[in-house]
Amino acid sequence: MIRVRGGELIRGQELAPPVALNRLVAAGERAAIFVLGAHFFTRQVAISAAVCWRDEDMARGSGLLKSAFLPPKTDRPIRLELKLPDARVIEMPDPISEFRPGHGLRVHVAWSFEPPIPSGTLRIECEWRDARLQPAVLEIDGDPLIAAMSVARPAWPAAGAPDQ
Amino acid sequence: MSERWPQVQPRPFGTRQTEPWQGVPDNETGALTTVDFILAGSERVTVRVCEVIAFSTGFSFECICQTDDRALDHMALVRNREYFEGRRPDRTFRIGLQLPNGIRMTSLDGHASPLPQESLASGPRMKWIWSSGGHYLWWVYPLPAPGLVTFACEWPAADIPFSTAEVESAAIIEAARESVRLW
Repeated sequence: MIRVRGGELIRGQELAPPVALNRLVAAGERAAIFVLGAHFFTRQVAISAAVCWRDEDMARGSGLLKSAFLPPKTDRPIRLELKLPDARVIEMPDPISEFRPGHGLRVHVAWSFEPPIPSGTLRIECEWRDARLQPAVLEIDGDPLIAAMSVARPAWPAAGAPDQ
Repeated sequence: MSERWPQVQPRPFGTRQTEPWQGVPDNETGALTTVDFILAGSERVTVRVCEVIAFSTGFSFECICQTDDRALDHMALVRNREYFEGRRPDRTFRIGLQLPNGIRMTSLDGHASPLPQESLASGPRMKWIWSSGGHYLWWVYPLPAPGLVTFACEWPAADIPFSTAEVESAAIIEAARESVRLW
């Protein structure tokens, strides 16, 4: 089941302003992948991105999500990998927003991993064959993310607040 | 298909926006802002505004009502229908904002008197995009002018009184400049 902006992704008990990254990973005539930012949760760090496409018929219903994220990895038309400095690889992000009218021809996705954030460079590697998006790499300095993570504060300052 | 049913033509689920007030533009990446705050809280629920993404024509934001109270969760899920159909306004979570020029937009506007056609075209608008449980995604058109944007919410059934928080619109305006025009 595809979770829409829910589940573990928003259940953290820490609150920290997101780090806005706003970097283009790849852009072609039919599609683009844009990294939005990093978000911090109790047991997760999430790097979010927007996957945008130009033609209405490139995705029907949840077709893009299903075709891109659910097939075996050898048959995935989209490759979206996050490689951490400690050699961990998150092969595919999770869809976190629904593709529907008013939300543009796009979905938002997030790579999630457990903290701590390793020091060094994070690499995002993307390719979308059907959209003629050539392999591309974006490197992100992890140190600003580590600094931002350290200023996270409890989202529930009052005693008796909802226990997530 | 039997002729008893409407004879409709299939169309893509996602269709291109024809007017900027309709939602997130199709040809831009958007840019994430660092706006993220607790708008209101009680012992039963916390209301958070986050995921503020700026575009050249406006911005989207997400409002999350975080609770472990199943009754409140249901009220958030049914949104405004409780208010209008159940005649129980205290159960309705309502959110709105005021732009620096004093114009106010709320989640109840869609139930107010029909807007004249010219208002639809010129804006401003706060348009619901989707929701999932207590999560709401809103589109605000157009971009605010320089100054303070005031977010407000109220939810009597969840012990949330009228609550406000102010955000400098510069954070949104500057992020909008980072939104990449694609096509």
